[in-house]
Amino acid sequence: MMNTPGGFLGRVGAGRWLACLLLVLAGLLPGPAVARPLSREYDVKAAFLYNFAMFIDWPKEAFAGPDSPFVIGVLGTDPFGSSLEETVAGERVKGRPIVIRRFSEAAGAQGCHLVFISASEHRRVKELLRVLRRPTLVTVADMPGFVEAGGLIGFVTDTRVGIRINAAALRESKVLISSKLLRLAQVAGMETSPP
Amino acid sequence: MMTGPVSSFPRRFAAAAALLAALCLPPGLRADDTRTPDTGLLTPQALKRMTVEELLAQPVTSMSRRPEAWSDTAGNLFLIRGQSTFTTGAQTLPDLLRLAPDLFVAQKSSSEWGINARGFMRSNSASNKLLVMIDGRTVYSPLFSNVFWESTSTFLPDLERIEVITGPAGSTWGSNAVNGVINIQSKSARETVGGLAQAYVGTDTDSFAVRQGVNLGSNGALRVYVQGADHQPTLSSTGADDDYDAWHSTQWGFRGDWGRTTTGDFTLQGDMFNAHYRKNPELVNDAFNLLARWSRDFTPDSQLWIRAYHDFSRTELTGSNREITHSGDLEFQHRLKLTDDQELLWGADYRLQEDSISNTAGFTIQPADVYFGLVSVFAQHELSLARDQLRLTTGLRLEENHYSGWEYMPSVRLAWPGPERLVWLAASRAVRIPSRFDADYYAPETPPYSLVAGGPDFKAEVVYAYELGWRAQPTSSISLTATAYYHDYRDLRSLEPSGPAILPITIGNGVAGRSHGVEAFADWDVTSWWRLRAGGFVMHQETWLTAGGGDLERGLGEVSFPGYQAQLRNTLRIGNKVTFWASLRHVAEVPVYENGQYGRVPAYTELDATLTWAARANLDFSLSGRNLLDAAHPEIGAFADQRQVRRSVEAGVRFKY
Repeated sequence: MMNTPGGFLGRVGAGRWLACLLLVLAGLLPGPAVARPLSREYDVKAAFLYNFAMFIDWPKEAFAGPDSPFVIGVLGTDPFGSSLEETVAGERVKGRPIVIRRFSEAAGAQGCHLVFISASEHRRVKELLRVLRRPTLVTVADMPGFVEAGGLIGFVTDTRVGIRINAAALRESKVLISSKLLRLAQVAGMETSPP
Repeated sequence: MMTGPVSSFPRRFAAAAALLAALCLPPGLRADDTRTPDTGLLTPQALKRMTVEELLAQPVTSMSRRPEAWSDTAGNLFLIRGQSTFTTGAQTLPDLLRLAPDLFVAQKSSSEWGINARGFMRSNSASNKLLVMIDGRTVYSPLFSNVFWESTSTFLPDLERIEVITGPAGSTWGSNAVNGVINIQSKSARETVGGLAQAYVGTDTDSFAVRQGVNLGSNGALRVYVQGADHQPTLSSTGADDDYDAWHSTQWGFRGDWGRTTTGDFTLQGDMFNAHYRKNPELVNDAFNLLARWSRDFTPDSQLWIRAYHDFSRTELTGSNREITHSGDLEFQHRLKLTDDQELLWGADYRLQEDSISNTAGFTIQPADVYFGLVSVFAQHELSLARDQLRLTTGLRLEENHYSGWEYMPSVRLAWPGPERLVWLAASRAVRIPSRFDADYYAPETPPYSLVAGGPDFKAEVVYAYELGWRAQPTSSISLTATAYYHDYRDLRSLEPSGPAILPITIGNGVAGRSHGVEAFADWDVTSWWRLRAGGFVMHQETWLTAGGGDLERGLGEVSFPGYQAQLRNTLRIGNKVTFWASLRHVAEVPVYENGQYGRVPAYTELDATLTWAARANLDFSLSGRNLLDAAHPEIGAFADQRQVRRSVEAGVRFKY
């Protein structure tokens, strides 16, 4: 027979040598020791949502009572998995517990303070924004053109996550965004008059 | 015995590799609880402690570029996620594909599997109607119309996901996507920075896998990996341990990703594979591939990608046949949002193939050396109607092949999205194009070819398919899907006798058929720590000889498919560290047909289970049992070819650094 066990082990020997070499080289290269650790896109977006809850002031009328929870909604197919829950676990917004709700229709946003509209709804985003236009609701999404379509806060994703804020929508709204957040975000439509 | 020293190598290797890996670790590189043990990524807990400035500077990996959600697709799509690999103890792609309830996965021998959807498999496990791709590179052999699963391998720890689409998808994916498509995608190198070492030992498969990933500048990354596996033989049809089909494989490769989507994102990847199957005669396969892909988002409404690859494979049956193939492929796709309501996806593909076969025993493929091209262009248009109440997708692909010339593959899909549900309808035509096995097959090996005289007039096999699908998410913890289909097959492969003398046989298209069935799946998150899933299919197929056809197999050549299959899966998280996964599957009896004889593989019920324990953030252990309900059972194969797959137990360890 052509291939003796010796022949096969010969190949394995070569493979082992190569693997060792790769490992040693990998150890020498500027590797994870100096690199910034990466994150999942939606883990970062969940952290942003949590920050929005912290850096935006909602008027009292947005809450039923002093102990009512702060409600974050996800409209459409949920891209966060468990990361939103993991982010808000054990946290409070000005003493209020945080509740997360998921729904597929605009009606589900009743009682929400912050709603993330999933990219799955990109086809009907204009219609959704019409229905969701409430002065105490902050709309957030990461689909292209969301801020232009009238959404309040848009995520811009490349190798990092950026935020854009719609100035016109903000003027119509009764929430107050902290100047710190405004300073760090791109503010769209400062010049244009409200529709 | 030869297997002694050979079978112990992965164990020794894995131990050595893990030790070496640990020694190579620079100090200060140990994982901590701010990183996800799975990926080395920062955890949500770490991220929420960051300031807004830090968050804005935080590099991210993008999960998927196409925003279309699973629930949005007007077709039967099932996703298998990469993280399922360790939880289920899967060591091969077919192990993992058993998670798709619509697929029939049958292990024929230690190294061979038959995998298909919606019927039409040969009793030797060949399935010519299912297209399979890894990162866009086709692994369906266009020269033999089959997927050789034993040499279809990827580095499973870095698997992103597998999309399983049942039903024809020729207009999007091209020829041979007749009964379905399996699309295997590996993770971007940006998601695999860091080291991983994994090893399994067990009664059936010993394997090791080592990967090292590093960052390249601020927005690039590279990984290299090596893996090997050693598989024990199955039992003969009578249950004897004849040591026939033990095999081992080694593979190494790399993937680099750099750039950014707005200015150009580049991927370069490659794999080298070597495997020795069966002794006596020994079968050896060496394969190599290199793939490059460039993509760019010109605007959010205009995205382009270009992909090129080269694929080489050499298969040798010692003392008998040898085949060498080269494929070169160049493809691009452009997605363009035309208006608020319309989207266009279009592209073209050119593939050049070279195949060289040296023939010795029994049969011959003539001409021995061929060189041919495959050209295809396609366009798909998506239109929202009635204020987004309906979505109409129409597509057409035109493809030219060496044997049957131009083929057309149209499809029309209509989706009706609604609150918490989606209903869709589809009609499509797909083709299985001729291969060398259809057109160039002669026997005996020297002229005159008095037994088989090729398939000079062989045409493409055609399916017309009609589908109706329903998908619903009545509550946030339950999702349901159901798909009903009717397939009408024309011009199926047949063995035609030449007059009353019968011989020589020619290969023709004298069989037609139809199939219909239902595929269903339910997913229920009972609590945050307990998940139940159930799924399966029922399928009925018939075939008959067309007028003038005299198929010597009586149209029964592709009869080997169960009438139904059902599975129930359970995932239970016990505390933060332990996960118990179990899958119970029942497969109805599978008819087999060979050389005029009709038989069956008996129905069976099997249980697979895996217990995983996250001992530390970067160290996991697992214990798996496969086929636990029987000492051994056959899944496919005719008569003496019906090898028995044994119960097996495997222990695994995975270390990340």
